[in-house]
Amino acid sequence: MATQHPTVLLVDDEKANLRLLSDLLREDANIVLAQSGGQAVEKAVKLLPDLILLDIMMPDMDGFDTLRTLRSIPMTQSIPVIFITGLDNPEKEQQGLRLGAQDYIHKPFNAEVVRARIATQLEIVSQRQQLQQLSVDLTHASEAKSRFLANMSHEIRTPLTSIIGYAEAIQAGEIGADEHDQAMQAISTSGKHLLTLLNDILDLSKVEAGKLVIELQAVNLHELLEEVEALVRGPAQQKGLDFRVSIQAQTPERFLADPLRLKQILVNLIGNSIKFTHQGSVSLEVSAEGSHLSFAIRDTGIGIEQDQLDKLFAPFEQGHESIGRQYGGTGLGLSISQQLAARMDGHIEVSSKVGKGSCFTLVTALYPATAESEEPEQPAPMAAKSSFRGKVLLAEDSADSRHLLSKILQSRGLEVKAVENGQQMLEAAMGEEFDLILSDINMPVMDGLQAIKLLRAVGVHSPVIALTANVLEQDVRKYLQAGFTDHLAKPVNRQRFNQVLATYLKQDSSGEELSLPNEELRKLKDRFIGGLPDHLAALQTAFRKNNRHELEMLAHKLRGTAALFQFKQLSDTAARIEKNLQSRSLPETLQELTHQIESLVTSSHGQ
Amino acid sequence: MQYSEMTALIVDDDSDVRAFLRSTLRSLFGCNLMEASSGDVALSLYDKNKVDLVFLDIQMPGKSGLAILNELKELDQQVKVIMVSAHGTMENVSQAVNQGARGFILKPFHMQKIKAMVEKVHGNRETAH
Repeated sequence: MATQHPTVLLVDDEKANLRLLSDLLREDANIVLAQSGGQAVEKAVKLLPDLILLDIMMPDMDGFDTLRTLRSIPMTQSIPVIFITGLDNPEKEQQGLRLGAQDYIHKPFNAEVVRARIATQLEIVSQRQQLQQLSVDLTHASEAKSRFLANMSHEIRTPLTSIIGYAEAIQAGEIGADEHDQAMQAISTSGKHLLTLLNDILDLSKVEAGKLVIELQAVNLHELLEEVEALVRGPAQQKGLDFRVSIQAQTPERFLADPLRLKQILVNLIGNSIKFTHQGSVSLEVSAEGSHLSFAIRDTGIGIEQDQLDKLFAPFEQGHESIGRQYGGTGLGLSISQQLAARMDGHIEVSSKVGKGSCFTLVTALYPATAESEEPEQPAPMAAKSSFRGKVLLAEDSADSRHLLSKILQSRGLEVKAVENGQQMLEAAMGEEFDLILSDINMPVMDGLQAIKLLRAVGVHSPVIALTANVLEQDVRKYLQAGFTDHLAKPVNRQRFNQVLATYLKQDSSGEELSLPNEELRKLKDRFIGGLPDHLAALQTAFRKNNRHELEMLAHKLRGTAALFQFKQLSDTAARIEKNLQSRSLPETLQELTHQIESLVTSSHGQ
Repeated sequence: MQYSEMTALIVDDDSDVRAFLRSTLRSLFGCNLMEASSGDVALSLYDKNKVDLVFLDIQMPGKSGLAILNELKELDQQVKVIMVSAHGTMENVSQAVNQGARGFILKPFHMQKIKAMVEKVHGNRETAH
């Protein structure tokens, strides 16, 4: 039921009836009176009552005519109408119902009956209104999500443009060697920004559920602002906007904050300002007042209409529908920013004038940095680069990632075997012992999860690290349960990568290949070569007798044993026979094998 | 248990492979060794002796490695078998695992691999220096 009193329009030419009904209903509804059909229509259009009680017998325009008129006007056509009649005439009642009346009340009035019938009609009205509102809400939500998806691609496209653009310019030689560092920096920054965006989307549900963790640490204001500036300077310059940062004198240089989240809010607010400003400037002014820090972002942009200001911080909303199309953006930024600010004991204020510009101010609690909160200086990634010894198996289906990771691993002095899927990983790990295995999760043929279970089942106990984009806690738990030793999130963070290598690889590992003493190996080889003529004779007999099965067995055996003693050519030829039993080239291949064996036997005798 | 007191049974129809494994295991662990060129010999050797570890070729004429694995399991539920094969088709690997093989290694052999596998399967994980 609506919380407000419903409005009921009473229509009767007799004042006594109006008075009687008013008295009956006064407690439950706002009463409006009309003494003729014409007056009733006029008031119904003006006030849109929730229910109309309409007398049938009236001079000039009777109840039926009045109802016909009400039903012909779009605004009033769905207002429920209850007829009041003294007649006990079923035909007239039917006529009224056909015209669209909802019910009848008979004179003389029985108070309880009148109240009950009116309550029923009002209940129906209220339920209908709720349904209509729900329908509007659902449509709105669905439209907002569609808009969000459409705008998302824009938001992703912007940093991608910078990444692809710089990369291609370098390839084409359009960027001189002296500018390479700057270009690489831009690529790396944009890539990281994309990652942040992705995290934003994933975070949205967390933020909304209030599950986002704010991690306070000592922050250097100048460093933080430099990082923010590095992200927004490019876009501002591209639009020919002046971007200025100013810090008021009393602002402390160090304080406690979550640098990641603080940067996220500032980049978002400044990014918005740049987006909606076509000429002039965007400025950031940092100041401290008492126990609060304030970051004011002023622009000379298009401004925001007053009635849109309230909706700005709702998720998926942008000032106007057309804004999303024209300016892009996820419509999530302000919502996330506002909620993040709240988690930092702060808020975001906004003031704006259409055509003049806007000012967004982030106000957060100022927590002074204490001596203990000093972050230990993180060693620079390059300094942390150390050499390892050992063999690493890398399974990754993306050729680029495989290549990149192989390069990094090799640069650390590691021997790398790179494969493309879980099955190849399994085969490699069953053949050789690796000091460390890095495995992607999503791979064709056999994925990482299937592979790890088999790996562990076949007795491979090397540490296996899951390389994965799924960093949700429950996913990681699943990987560890399946047998992975640890996990590394993709894209791989250098520092964490170094940590993993340092944890699972011995830096001082002697790592020497075990092998049999030369003398012993020599004897075994001679033995093998000595048996080759017999083996060849058996192969030729099987071929003559056309015994394919025997031929396959013998070739298979020869392939394995030849490989064991590192006679690769012989092993390959045997493999060709094994695989091409039906081929016409079989006699030739067999001939080739014969030559190879003969020459092995001859050179062995010659020694 | 010391590796030198361990007894390993090598089952392979190829005498060259047996010789290679024999030399490798002796050089790595100095353990006692027995050899069989067929399933029936292997089963009878296992039954009559105290064998700690079996290297079992998967592809042999007559009784296949997987069939021998089954019969070994019937003799002794706790048997420790490492399957040996020139190629690890997934059917073979899955089946061997399902039948209770403790390990699977592919030819050509790497000594490091054999060492790690024996250490793992034999249950003695002390790091060798």
